[in-house]
Amino acid sequence: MKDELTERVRTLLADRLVRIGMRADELDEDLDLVRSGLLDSLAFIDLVAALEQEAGRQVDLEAALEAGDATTIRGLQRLFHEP
Amino acid sequence: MSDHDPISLFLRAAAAYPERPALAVAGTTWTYAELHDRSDRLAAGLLDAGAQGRRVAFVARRDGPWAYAAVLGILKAGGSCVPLHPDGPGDRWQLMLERCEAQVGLVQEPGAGPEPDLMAANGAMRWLTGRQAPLSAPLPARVPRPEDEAYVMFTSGSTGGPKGVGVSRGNLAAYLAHLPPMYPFGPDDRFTQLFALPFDLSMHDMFVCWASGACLCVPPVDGGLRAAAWARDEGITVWFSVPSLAGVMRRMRALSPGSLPALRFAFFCGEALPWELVNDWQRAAPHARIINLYGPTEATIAITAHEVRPDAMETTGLVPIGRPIGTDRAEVLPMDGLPHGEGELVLCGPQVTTGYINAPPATERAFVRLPGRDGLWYRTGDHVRQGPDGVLHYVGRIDHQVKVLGHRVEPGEVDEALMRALDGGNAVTVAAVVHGTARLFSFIDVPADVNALMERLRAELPAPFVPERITVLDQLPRNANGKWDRPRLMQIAHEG
Repeated sequence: MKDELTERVRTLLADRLVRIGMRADELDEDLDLVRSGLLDSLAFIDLVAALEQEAGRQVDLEAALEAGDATTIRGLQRLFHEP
Repeated sequence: MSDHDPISLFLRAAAAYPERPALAVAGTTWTYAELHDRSDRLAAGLLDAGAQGRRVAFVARRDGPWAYAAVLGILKAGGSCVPLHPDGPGDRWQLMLERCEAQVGLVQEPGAGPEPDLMAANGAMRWLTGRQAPLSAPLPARVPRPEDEAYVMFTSGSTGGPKGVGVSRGNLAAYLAHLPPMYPFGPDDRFTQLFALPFDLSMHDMFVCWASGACLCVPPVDGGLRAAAWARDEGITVWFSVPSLAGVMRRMRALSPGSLPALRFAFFCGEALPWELVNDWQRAAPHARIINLYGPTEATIAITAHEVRPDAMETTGLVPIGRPIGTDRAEVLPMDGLPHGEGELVLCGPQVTTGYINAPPATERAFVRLPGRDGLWYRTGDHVRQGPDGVLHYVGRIDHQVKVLGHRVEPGEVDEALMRALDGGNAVTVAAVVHGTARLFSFIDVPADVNALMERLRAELPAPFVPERITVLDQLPRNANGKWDRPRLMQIAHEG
């Protein structure tokens, strides 16, 4: 279940990873996707919107950002897998 | 000294409100007295180093208090600020320093960042640290002349790389004489500082705030995603950002009705402002007056304004850019094929600068004399329409310039960098709107290692200039006139 989301994020970001000279399999679950310069804030929201569309539900991103590491793959897993 | 010189305004507030907060950043708050004292110490060191009348470069990290003391210190010493973006890239810094011939560099701490490389590369520059030297004597009062340069900001150039715009104390004073008095700001206000310092809108943040005796509040650098919560926590009353940031907040569903209740003013500038966004913003901030500012760096921060009237909101299209805020003249230069009242916006007056530094051809193209009119006019390259009421409306660009998250990008600058790397072959970069955001897409017509090209672009260009994708085509499409078929390339970009 969790691996699925990781793979999905890697696929969605494959094009962009080139911009910071990284390969998809190097994308660590704890890498901060925004602070690393991989995504700007709009691109991060695009990513969350794509995941929301696939999951068929909306998540409370603002609350998750308040709480901490929402901008890592691990944080996204928590956001999408915990009710 | 002019009544509205930025330093005169700061000194007046520092005398009136010495114990009030002037700057809140990274958990630290400095009072006006503290900011005044610290910037005086930097100014004393700079005067000793001969910075008066010279350009002083510094890496401007906006998420600490030091950069703000540096701006004030440089201006107090009669120098000109050349803020460098902390993200570089280093090649770009190098180009900027050469282009504006900055003679003095200021670093916060020796060995605390990438500056040593810069120091090594610029043997002719004098570098000094911003360590707090004790003040041996009061800083000599000096009176700047209006023509003295206050800062240099770089904008994208379609050929020849970044262009430095030198803005004078007089240009800045003209802005500060008109904008702050239009709104009842006071010492209880808390202003946002959301712009990177090498973006001239940061000068509005600092000096409009300090002219009012208010507190400048700086979020963490990666705080864009938390902007609404941050504004609530900080008790922000005066907001200023690019519309893109408001777009981010809306897409995060952070603009729910009444979610920004303390806001008294919201200013937007740097990009076209859609009515749709303004409607959501007004619901989120019901007590805020919303003002759309417009202006190129070449005409000092912002030159026209349009205040949104809650009883006259539209639902689609763009908010007008309004009328000149001061004594500058804004006229519409007719263009072939456009109806009466439409054309290129040209500007003339005390906010208009004298041109680009060490770039006569670019200056001659953009700063022109008009038949039958006095003065030097700046051609904005913006296509506008003027209504019968005199209000100006932004329509688009007359060239290929695009805004990526508020940053001016000439796609030609990306093309030049690509072609240098390709060593033969053509490159054409276009912008395509993806999820409501302009993104760049580059096309080349020779086989190349795309990953290596991307790496090269990252080393040479700031992040907003790096394209989303580089696509290799056998041949780049041309239109009937033999020019690059940009609409076709935009379509290809869209189709992914």
